[in-house]
Parts: sequence; C-alpha cells; structure tokens
Amino acid sequence: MKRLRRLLPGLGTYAALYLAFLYLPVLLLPLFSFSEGTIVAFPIKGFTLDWYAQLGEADTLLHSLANSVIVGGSTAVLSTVLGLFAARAYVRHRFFGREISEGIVMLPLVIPGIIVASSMLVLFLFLGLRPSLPAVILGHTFLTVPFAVSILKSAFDEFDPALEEAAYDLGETTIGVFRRVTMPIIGPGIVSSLLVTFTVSFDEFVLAFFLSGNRPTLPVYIWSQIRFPAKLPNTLALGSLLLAFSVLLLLTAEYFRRRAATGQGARKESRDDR
Amino acid sequence: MTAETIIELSGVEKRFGTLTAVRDLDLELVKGEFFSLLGPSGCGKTTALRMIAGFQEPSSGTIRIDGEDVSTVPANRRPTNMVFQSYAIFPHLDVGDNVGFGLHRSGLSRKERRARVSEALELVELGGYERRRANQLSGGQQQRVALARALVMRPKVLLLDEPLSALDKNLREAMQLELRRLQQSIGITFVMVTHDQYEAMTMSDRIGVMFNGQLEQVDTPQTLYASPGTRSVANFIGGMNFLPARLHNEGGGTLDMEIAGFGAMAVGRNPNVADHGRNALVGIRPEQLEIAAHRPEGYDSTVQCRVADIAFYGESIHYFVEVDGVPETMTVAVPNYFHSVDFTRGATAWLGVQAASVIDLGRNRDNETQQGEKT
Amino acid sequence: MPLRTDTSKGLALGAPATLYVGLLVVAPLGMLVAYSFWTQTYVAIDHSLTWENYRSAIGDPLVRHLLFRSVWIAALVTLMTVLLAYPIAYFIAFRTERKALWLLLITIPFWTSYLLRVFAWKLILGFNGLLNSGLQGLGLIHEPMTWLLYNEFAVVLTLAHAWAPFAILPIYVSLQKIDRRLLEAATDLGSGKLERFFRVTLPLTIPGIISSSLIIFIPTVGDYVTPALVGGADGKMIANLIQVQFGPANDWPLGATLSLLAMVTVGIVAVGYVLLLRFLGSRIR
Repeated sequence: MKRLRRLLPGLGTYAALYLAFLYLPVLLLPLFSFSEGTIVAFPIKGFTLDWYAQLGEADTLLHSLANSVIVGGSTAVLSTVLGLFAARAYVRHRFFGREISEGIVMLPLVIPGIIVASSMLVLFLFLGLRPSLPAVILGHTFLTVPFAVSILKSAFDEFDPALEEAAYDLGETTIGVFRRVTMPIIGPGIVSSLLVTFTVSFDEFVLAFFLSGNRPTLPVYIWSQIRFPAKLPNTLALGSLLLAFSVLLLLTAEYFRRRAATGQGARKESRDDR
Repeated sequence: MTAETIIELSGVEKRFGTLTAVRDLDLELVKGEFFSLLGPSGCGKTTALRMIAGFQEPSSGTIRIDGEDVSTVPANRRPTNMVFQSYAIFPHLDVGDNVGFGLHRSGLSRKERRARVSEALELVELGGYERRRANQLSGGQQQRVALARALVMRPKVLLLDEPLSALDKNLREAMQLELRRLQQSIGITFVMVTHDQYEAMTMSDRIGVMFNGQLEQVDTPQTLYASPGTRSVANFIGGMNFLPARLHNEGGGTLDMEIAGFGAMAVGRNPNVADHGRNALVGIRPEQLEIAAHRPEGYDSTVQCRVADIAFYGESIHYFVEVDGVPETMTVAVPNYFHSVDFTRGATAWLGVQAASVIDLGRNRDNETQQGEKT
Repeated sequence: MPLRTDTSKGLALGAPATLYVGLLVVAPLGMLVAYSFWTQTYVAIDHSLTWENYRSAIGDPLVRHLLFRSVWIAALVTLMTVLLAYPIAYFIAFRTERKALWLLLITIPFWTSYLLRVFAWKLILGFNGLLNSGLQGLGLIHEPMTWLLYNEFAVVLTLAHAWAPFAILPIYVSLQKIDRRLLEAATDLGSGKLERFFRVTLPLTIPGIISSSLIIFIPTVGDYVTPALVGGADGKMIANLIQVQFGPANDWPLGATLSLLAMVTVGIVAVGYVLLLRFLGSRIR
C-alpha cells in the first residue's frame, strides 16, 4: 500500500500536465486576440479590442455566420429527430437486426472525413444536387446522427419504461403519454442532443469545404482567411469568439444532460399544464 | 354471500415467437378477493398480469372483466389499474400531481380532483404529502403513492406486480399486513404477482401457482399447504420431505401404502391429485415430524435416524437426518422452545409421524421420463 | 401503443436513422466505385469500364509514398495518443472521486473547432511562432528552430493533441467496467502491483484499447486539415492529394480511385491490428 500511495502524486501530476497540454494551445487564441501586434509572438504587445470591432464590418463573415447557423440549426433538428427514434428503438425494443442497426448508425464516426466528403460530393452531383447549404445539411446530419443517438440512448437508459405504462394504465392516450410523461422526462436529453449536434455542425470543416459551394460556412470562411497573414489578428478574434461560443453551448448541453440523468427535467412545464 | 365473478380468463395463451410464456390459462376471480399469482421468475405470472392489465394481447383465448370481453381493449380503456414493481412514480411531478395524473381526463372539476387526491392519500396514510417531490420519498412512501395513484381511479381490479420486492425485510412484512387491511376495507379485487411464497400466503384469499407458463393449482393458502396437487407445488410452498411409497390398496377415503423407511400407513386421499399408481409419492412437512431421543409414544409410525447436520434458525432448529430406506436426507423442524439444541451431529434419534400428516402426492414420476411433467 | 409487437415497433423506430446513414454510406461509396472505373477527358466522363485509374495510381510512386506516409503517421499518432491517454484514463477510473468533472474537462477541447486547434499549433510551431519567440526572449536559443513546423513531427504532434479525448473515453470505459473484486482477487492470489496490472488490468482493457486505436487511426489516415496547415511539403498525406483531384486538378475518377485505395488500406491495416492485439491478449497468462 505504501508504494501505491507514492504513485498517487505521480499520476495526479501527470494528469495536470496532460490537461495543460490539452488546453494551452487552445487558450493561446484568445490570449493573442487582444494583442496590438499583428504577428503571434512573445512578448505580447499592448491590449486592444479593435480586432473584434472590425469583425462586425466584415460582410462575408456575417454571411458565413448566417450560413453556419442555418446549417447547424437544421442539422441539429434532423439528427435529433432521427436519433430520438433510433435511441428509443435500441433501448426499449429487442428486435432482429438491432445490433447491426446500431453499428450502421455509428459508422460516420469511423469513416475518414475526406472520403465522406468526396463521395458525397460525387453522389449529390450525380443526383443533381449542386454544392449548397442543403447539401451541407444532409452531410452534417449524417455526421451528427451518432452523437444524437448516443446522447438520447443515455436519456432513455435512465427512463423507466414503466413510467409510460403507468401513464397509459391511468387512462392517457398515446399522444397524451408522450406529452405528459415522455417529453418532460427526456426533454433535457433532447436539448442536450440539439446543442451538441449544432456545435459539431457549427465547427465542421472538411464536409462543408467540399459541399458548401459559393455559400461558405464559418469554418470555410476561416480557412480562407488563415492564408492571409494580414488577416491574422481578425482570425484570432473570430476564432476566440467561436471557441467561447462552442464551450458555452457544450456546458449548457452538459447541464441538460445531467438533468436528464437525474430525471428532474421540465418540472415547471407540467405544473403549468394543469 | 354469492360469489360474483369479476375476471374470467378462458384458454388464454401468450406466445413470443417460439416461446410460450403462458399456456391455456383458465381462471375465474371473485369480486372482492385478494388473489395472488405465485411462481418462480420466468413462469409467466407477470405476462398473465400484463394481459389482464392490457399491456399485452393474448395470442389466443379471451379475457372478461365484469362480464365484458376486453381481450383487445388497450390498457388505457380497461377498468384496471396497476401498481408497478418499480412504482413508476413520475419524477417530474410532485406527489399530488402523481396521484391526480389519471383524473386529468375524468371530467372532474379541479376542486373535485383535489378532493379525490387528498382522500386517496389519506387512505394510504400520506395525508398532506401533496407538494412533496417524488425524489424526497422513501421506498415505502413511493409504494403508497403508487397505490394511491391507482386507487384514486376507483378501478374494478387493482393489479400489483411484485409490489413489495423493492422494500427491505421489516418494511415488507409491515406492508404485507397493511396492504391486506387496505384491501379488506375498500373491498376492491386485488391481483398480485409475487415469487415470495410467504408474501402470497399471508396476504391472499386464494393463490394460483404457476410453473413454466402453466397454472398448476388454485386454492386457499391452507389447502395449498396441506394438499398440494403436484410435487412442484408441494416443493415451492413450504419445505417438504419427499418419500417414495408403494400403493397397496385404494379404498374409499384412505390409501394403504408402504412408505420408504416408515413402513405401512393408511394415508388420506388427496383430492387435488390427478392420478394414482402403484409407484406412489408422499410428502411430510418438516414441522410435522417429531424428533426424540427415545422412541416417542402415540405416533402411527416411528423410525430410527441419524442426525447428519444441524441448522439453527433462531425461532426454530432444523435437523437434517438420515433414515434407512429413505433415499434423500430428511429435514425436521423443531420450534426453539427452551433455547436448547437437543441433538449433536452424528447422534442417533427417533422420528415419529402421524398418518394424518402424510400428504398423498399421487403417482411417483421420478422413475418415469421427465417429459410427462414438462408438457 | 403497447399492443404492437416489440420487433415491428423496434424496426419501425430504428429504420429512419439506419436507412439514412446506411444509404449515405452505401450510395456514395457505390458512386466512388463507379467513378474509379471511369475515365475523364477534359470535362467529359468516359463511362467505359477500365482498370486504368488503379493502374496509374498504384504505379505512381507519389501515391504509394503518400499512402505509406498516411498510414505511418496515423500509426504514430495512434500509438502516441493511446500511450499518453492510458494513464489519464487510469487516473480517472481509479484515482479520483471527481470522475464527472475530469471527463468533462477532457472532452471540452475536443468539441471546439478542430480547424482552430490545428491553427493554434501552426502559430505555436511557426518560424516566428510562440515557441521560437518565447525561447529567444528567454535567451535559451538564438536562432529560430526551423524543424518545428511543416514536417511529419508537426503533423503527429498536432493530431495527437486533437485526438486525445477520443483515446481516453473508450479506455476509461473498459477500466471502469473491471470488477474491482477481480483486482482484489489477483492481489489475494499473490500478484504484485505490476504483475496485477499486466496480467489482469491490461488484458481486460484490450477492447478499450482496440476501439480507441481504431477511432483514432481510421479518421487520421484520411485527415486533410492538419497536413494542409502544418505539414508543409514533407508532411502531406493522401487526403491532400485526393482533395487536389476533386478540386484544382478536377480528375474525379482518379480522386475516387485514391479514396477507395485509402479506404482499403485503412481496412487492411485495421483488421491486421485488431487480430494482432487479440493474439497478444490471448498470449498473456
């Protein structure tokens, strides 16, 4: 046991260093986004908010932001709906082909992005769908279904099937059971899935690069800016905003996911219902 | 009082693919009785209950409730309500909203609904708990809320799926008596599913014992204990020593038998046994055997035995004894009268038994193929 | 609702997602296969079937080199990421009470924009980048180090950083699943700490290691962003060539062929790897 205790601080220190390795590169973007200098190098020169202010004037940026919001929102809704049905099937039902179906749904996680992107481009063009926002939405829905399914599966795992039966037994209709029991209880899981799939879509680059055509999403816009050193400070500012936004969405998603797990979702709504 | 039928199952079967969960179930339940379906897990008792509730449709056969054929009527339109094994308390609602859940569509005014809810909560001794959150309730309280939520619907039949299995031992025993009292005071028919023989015996008017999807016997607890119809029922309810015997003469109410180890006895005919034969089987309950240091007086049969092992249960002591001519070790249960264990391992002792304590279990199928018993 | 059978309901609910994903795997790959047997002359596609694309792709030393390098880099990244991640997964599973917090901390960076994380490494490793300017400022070096960026090293480092959480989670799950009594039993039977780790813990986490490795290795072989941003000429991978075919070079049949070659290569290496680990796992006694 003594040797074990001597190991403890070692592993703890390693964990701390590892976290630093994970976070430091990411934190550099916001750090230098306030610098007056136009190159990223030590020492940091001055403090300014100009780079952020200039973002508001970049029209293409605002357009690409709007494109990303449209794509992210549609993707989130589509993949969450698909995920909702599938997760319910996997948790509640034992049916022939369930494992195969679960495997298929997880495939997008393990196909290299370049292959997904190039093959979808080929297929969509063959079907007459030019690179466009709908093409990106279809692609992103494909990519985000696994995330929606996993999140909603854990929401259903925590959800005692007897609750729906009890409601039904007490005279509710199928729709009534969904509205008064299912929705309030897995609601947080749904919100969490919407937020996570939105974030994944919002940050995705390769598919959007291939499929967005002349309406770039935000990451595609950033890609085009990275090549110009003169734009670097603005790119840093934009990147920092994007990072902050993603983290905010994810923390919110995590909050809802945990609410789903403890089964305390949407108490207020059902009270108003009476 | 004439017994009025409230539930009637005839020829009910439930098949899941190749598996038959419930086969050819005929059962009539009487208004106001406390009925239990008892059996080991996987015997089909829960499936039977869920068919009565309307969660599962029978593959064949009919289910009538209060004279009406409800076989294809879904759960939300049946006059039954259920207390679930997990209680299924809605986590997003407080106690009052849980209990009032089913009154939503009743057409009652808010005031009336509130009155019904508080009345139901009073009934289960949770008056004033309306605004408690579900996660603030203990297991026993959740059980009462589930009960109130079902009873508030004033069902013709209340269904209980292993209602006490999630409670610890002391609470479970207290709730057994309380549930029984509640059922008697409101007079609604209760149908309970349980795998716990003691629970079934202490609470029920009648018990149906199920094995492998088959209802083997329906009787009062006393009759099941005294005159089990099959070896499996005898084995499942209470302890039992099984002894092979030879049937010599079948005359009227008594059977003349030669019982392994215990010799010739005239055993009362068990009306629940379907079929007799020369190869017979009898059973003796462990507490019906007398064990003594010297040959006991006044018994129909006495025999010498060796004490192979001893188990101390507190309120009783079990001696595991070997008797010449009896293939299996026998169990003798003795009440712990004077805080003394009278025999030591390896000691020789005497057993005494009355013919009235020997239970006729019909033809002995041990030497025959096992298939006969399975079908 | 409850009077329907389990199977038909399950199938009906599971079908939309399965069909959507399934069709978007099968149909595009089918198109790729078709394209790989066609040829392109200027803008017109010649639909006659030919092995020409495969012949010229496999015959091209550049393609072979890029394929080999992609697999090599992905293997290095996988090895490095799993090695770095295992202690963390072990730490979270066995050495801390605040598992949820640690898992959250580990996963947050993963959800942020991959593009920006790669970009950050470019800024760190560049000629005038953070590392060089910082070390020069401290007087530790006098000339900027040029070997940091635009090579394999930069690609491996960046990808190992990007994939870290993906490696931790599956290993953590498999560690978490180990029945603690098994470990006590091993100790009880006289195993020392190290022996216990190698004979009990490690073999039981092989499934976790396999899924970690695959979930990193497979996408990494086809990674585009990292080699494009930090790889320079020496760090390019097969995905960059594929993008060129679908983009500037506009030779889709060749692009399709390269995509399929990459997939087949990935498949062969992945299956070989799984078999190897299973074999090694079965040898531990």
